[in-house]
Amino acid sequence: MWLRVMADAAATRPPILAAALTAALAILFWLTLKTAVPPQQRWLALWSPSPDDLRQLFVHYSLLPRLFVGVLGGAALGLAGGLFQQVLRNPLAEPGTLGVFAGAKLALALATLWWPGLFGYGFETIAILGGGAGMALVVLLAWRQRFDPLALILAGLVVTIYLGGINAMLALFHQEALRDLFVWQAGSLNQNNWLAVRALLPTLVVSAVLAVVLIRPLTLLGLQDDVARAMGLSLALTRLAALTIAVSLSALVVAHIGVVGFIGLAGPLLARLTGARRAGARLFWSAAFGALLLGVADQALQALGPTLELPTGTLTSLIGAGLVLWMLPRLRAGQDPRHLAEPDTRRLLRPWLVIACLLPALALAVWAALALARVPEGWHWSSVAELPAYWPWRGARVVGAVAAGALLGIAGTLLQRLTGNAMASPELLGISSGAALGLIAVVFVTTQPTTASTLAAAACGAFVVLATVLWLGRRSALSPEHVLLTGVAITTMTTALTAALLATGDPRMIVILNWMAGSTYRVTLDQALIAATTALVLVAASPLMMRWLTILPLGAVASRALGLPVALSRLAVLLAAALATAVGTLIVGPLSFVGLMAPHAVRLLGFRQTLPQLVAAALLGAMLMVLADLAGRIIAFPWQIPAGLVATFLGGSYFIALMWGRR
Amino acid sequence: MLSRRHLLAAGAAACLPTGAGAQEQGPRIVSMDLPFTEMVLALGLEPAAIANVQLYRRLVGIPPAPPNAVDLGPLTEPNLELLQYLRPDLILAASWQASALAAIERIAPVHWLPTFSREQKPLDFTRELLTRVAALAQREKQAEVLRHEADIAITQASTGLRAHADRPVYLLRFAEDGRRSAIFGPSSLVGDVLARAGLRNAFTGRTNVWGTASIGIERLVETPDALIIHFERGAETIRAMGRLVESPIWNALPAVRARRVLGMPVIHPNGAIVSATRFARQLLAAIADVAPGHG
Repeated sequence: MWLRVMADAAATRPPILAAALTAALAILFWLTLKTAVPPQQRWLALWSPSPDDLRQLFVHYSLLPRLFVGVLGGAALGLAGGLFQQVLRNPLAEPGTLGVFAGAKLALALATLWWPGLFGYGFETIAILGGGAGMALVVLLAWRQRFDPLALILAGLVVTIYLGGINAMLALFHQEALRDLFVWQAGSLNQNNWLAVRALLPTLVVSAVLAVVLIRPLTLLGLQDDVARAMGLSLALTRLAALTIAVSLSALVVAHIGVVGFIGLAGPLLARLTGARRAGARLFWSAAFGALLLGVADQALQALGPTLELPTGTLTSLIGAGLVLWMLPRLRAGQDPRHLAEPDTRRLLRPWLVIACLLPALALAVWAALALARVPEGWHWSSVAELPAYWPWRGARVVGAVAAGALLGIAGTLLQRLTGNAMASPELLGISSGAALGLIAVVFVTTQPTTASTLAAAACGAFVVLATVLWLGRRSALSPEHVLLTGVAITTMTTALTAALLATGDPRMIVILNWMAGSTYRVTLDQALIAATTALVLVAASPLMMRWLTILPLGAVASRALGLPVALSRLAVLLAAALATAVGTLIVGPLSFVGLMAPHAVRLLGFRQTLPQLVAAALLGAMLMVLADLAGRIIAFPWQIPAGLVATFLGGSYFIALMWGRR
Repeated sequence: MLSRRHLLAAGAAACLPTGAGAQEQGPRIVSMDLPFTEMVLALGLEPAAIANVQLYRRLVGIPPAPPNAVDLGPLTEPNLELLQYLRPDLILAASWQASALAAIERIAPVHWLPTFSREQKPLDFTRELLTRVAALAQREKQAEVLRHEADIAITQASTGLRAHADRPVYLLRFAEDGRRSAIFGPSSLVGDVLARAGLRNAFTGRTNVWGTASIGIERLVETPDALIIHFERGAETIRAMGRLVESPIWNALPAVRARRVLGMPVIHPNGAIVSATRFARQLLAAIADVAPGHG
């Protein structure tokens, strides 16, 4: 079998690229080795170090195993990615996009905090269980869509954000206890013995053998389901076997190295681009390129030395996000973007009446948020006379939460209308993450960030992401798939960057972390009023966009036929959505899910017409956010859970329940 | 308007001599950062509230925070409503918190104090900080006692360790994975005390403003003959050591071979004066038994 695989592979171009990468790896390793020991000792140091010579021991037990760990870890991720992609027929499937990394990370954090005894069974077991659970959740969510590639990646993104939110909550309360874990999870490959190599090697070999056994069934899986079934293949069993291998390989890497992003994506991608066609050749070259890429990235970081203190996993995530963006235009766009939309089951006859009922509900929520509190003796409901005393502490955050929730609701409605996709939202499109990147930049570049400069930076970030979305989507006329996948890449990049900054221990990161978690603690009245004004202006201006928003979901062809300037109207709507997202994100952070949940729930309630849907989504978003803020303020008193985190938890649960219910 | 409690307090103040033990009559101070908590407690006052009590207990620990201490929540986001409810006389907050917590000035008089200095040595800095805190807490005499204790502990350490003068020492805390460690350089408080005791910090690499860095264990080969002193944090440290003994590099280090890896109870690397005194004492106790010389 292997012979045929090799012969098959040799006929194409992969060996040329592999040789080039191997040469780079060798040169980089040589550079590191050269500075470590004098020339006459190098051979000795590598293979039989003198037990008394620390420099030789350093080479043999640190440099050499690190080289091997990079190569083996990369091979494991490449093979895992290849298997995922073959089974799921999805070129963007890899441990990071499928929730495996997020599940493994969360499991390790939970074990560190509450069940350290479990580490007696080894980090691997915990990581594999957590990674498997994360992946299982994603698979369950995408089940009804029959593993539609986009639905799967979206489910993966939602699960990753959701589990990441829980992780962030743990980090807020136990930052000190989890710091070691976070430094390690950022993916640094330091070694001081051969244990990691010894743990990775057998699993990799066994997995490779199993993969060889699975090559024929996997080839058939590349065909359509009914064809494969007709050829007598147990689809479920083959899929399960291949996915189990892939999850185990990825979780093993998390346990020993940490999160190394996108190698599982880049390996298979290079294999495909260089022309590996058959399933066997693809898996082989996926593993080979994964190995070489991680090896080269890690050796390059080492050769640069302490000038660039970046965990290897973070570097690969940053590069990988760029790779996804580059790849997007080459992906085939799907046919029907509306297959994710809810069926029109219900229709409200008097939407404005329902909106009139939502208003007092919002007023009640706001009043509760202003008046309800916990004190050391118990609960306290402030009388109207007492409210001014608490206004300085609650006023800005309540106004801010209301405005931000409304803005995200508006942004979500605009995007869902625009793309005709019920899963579109500022969070999932990466616009929130763009705003986050802008804010991180301003905090690290300027000494004293002001309201104006942070607002400008967040808006710039959101607009840059928007421009990227537009530019990348120009060929597909902003097909929803491409727009959403751009969001996946940008969100992943932000996560990686945050992890890297977190690992530096920079004190400014605490502020960023709190904000990323969606804390309204620092919201000033000025910021809240700016947000409220923006929300009101957008609602007031929305009737101007109504015709566009009603026609655009019908698709580009229909819109053009109805005489709509498609590109121009899309641009206008996207600009409005970006503005709403930037301002809302500044108040409640980038990951709240409110922009997903509010418009979606409003649709389920039966709001079909554009204007009532927009207004109702704004009201519902405002209510969700202000209640999330209230809950976060009192649940863990005197500690506070950021409103964005509470909303992420609510929104994620809502989304998961929704997808579960639809099975 | 004077309440009965105020009258009682004033009466008590008139009757009692000023001195240690008279806890009730000091100002009701709120501490917003770890070094202030350490100082206020060491000065014999019970703070009206402490930001992040768990973190203080975990990282500093001594002097112990009272079991019923009021927790204000995290250092970055203390609960301001609770703070207002407690009506303290005085708030001690760190300069780094000033931009985020400016609003607390509406609640009570705030003293924004620096928690580190780029110009001064950490021990000199923390001594001066103690003087300022003691003046605010009206506990100058206790501060004098604390400073004197620190001087004595450091003098005793440098006298007792004369045979080890200029010996290189690594100061660190092992991370759980047995691959990395938080290492404390010369510009941390413990690093400063180490230098004053006549020892040499074996780590000369780059550190952050707190004098700490995160390094891989393999870098300990850079100064092979150094003593290794590490802070023990219970189960985490036990797991770390369990993984370290599997590393041939670790096992080959002269300090490990000669069993000169010394664990000691955890001390905040950038604590205040009590941490400095404790570290000087623990240093003397740990190294005094080690045979002088190298290797």
